Amino acid sequence: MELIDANLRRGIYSGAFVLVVYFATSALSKFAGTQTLAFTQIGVSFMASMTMSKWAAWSVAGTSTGLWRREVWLKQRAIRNLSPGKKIAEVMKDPGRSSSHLTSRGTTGEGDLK
Amino acid sequence: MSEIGNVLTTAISLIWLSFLLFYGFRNSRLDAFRQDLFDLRDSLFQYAAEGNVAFDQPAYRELRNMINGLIRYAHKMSFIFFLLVLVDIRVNGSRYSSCASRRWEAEVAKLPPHSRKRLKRYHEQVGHTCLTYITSGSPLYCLLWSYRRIGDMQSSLRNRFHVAYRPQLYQGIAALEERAFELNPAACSEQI
Repeated sequence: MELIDANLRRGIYSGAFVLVVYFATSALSKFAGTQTLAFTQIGVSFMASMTMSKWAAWSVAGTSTGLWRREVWLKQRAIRNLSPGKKIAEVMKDPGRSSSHLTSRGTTGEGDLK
Repeated sequence: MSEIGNVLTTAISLIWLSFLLFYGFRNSRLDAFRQDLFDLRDSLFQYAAEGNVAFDQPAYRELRNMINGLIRYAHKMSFIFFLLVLVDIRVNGSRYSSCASRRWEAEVAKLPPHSRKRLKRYHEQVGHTCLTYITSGSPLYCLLWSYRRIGDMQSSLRNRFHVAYRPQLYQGIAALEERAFELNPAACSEQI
């Protein structure tokens, strides 16, 4: 059953990827034979299309993404610092304490990712 | 020329959005689910530390192992897998809630009434947390939910779905728990 689940999910992701490639190719093919642009021209065109509102939206999105990543990193650091002490305290009470087998940062173990 | 610029900005935005949706949102949900289970595990430990149930009681130990198994393999839990379990139950009949789950039920029955009630409550909370996690982030579930909602606008479909399929849903959860029991060796390790 896990095999079916894994293959189904793989199929969905692959299908989505194929769709993305298809639409990206379609979008680019619209320009085929019409214009030949140097990278600098593409850069200029890109900058020209960036309006003030787009800059503002991207700034908010970029800052939010950066802050989120920082929070994740801080959380993992806190787990790494606090969990050994907690574990020692718990083992003193319960010597047969079982574990979740996550990594010291609280992420999925390497061997469990397969 | 400005079309190229628009195509580029749209492409970058979509890539960014995909990253947030498929990596950020997914991992954030996973972390939240694991944290909910850690909270339950800590609460269970606290309950045992207060002397309500012995740490070496099989009922306590197996419940903790089950929670650990679910934390460990949370990244593999999906609505599709859950649906497959439900289909398997429908086709092959209920072969879950056997071995480990039944053994746990038997061990819980040996406890004094207040501990028994409390441990069963923890077990229910674990099941509810799993069900919420599996259904809340699945586009497929949302589609099914919307479809059923169109069919009957008068009552809350979520409740109807859960009431109609409650036995199957809980069998599905039991199956996932069964996997957690099987997969997580009850060993003390260096990890958290």
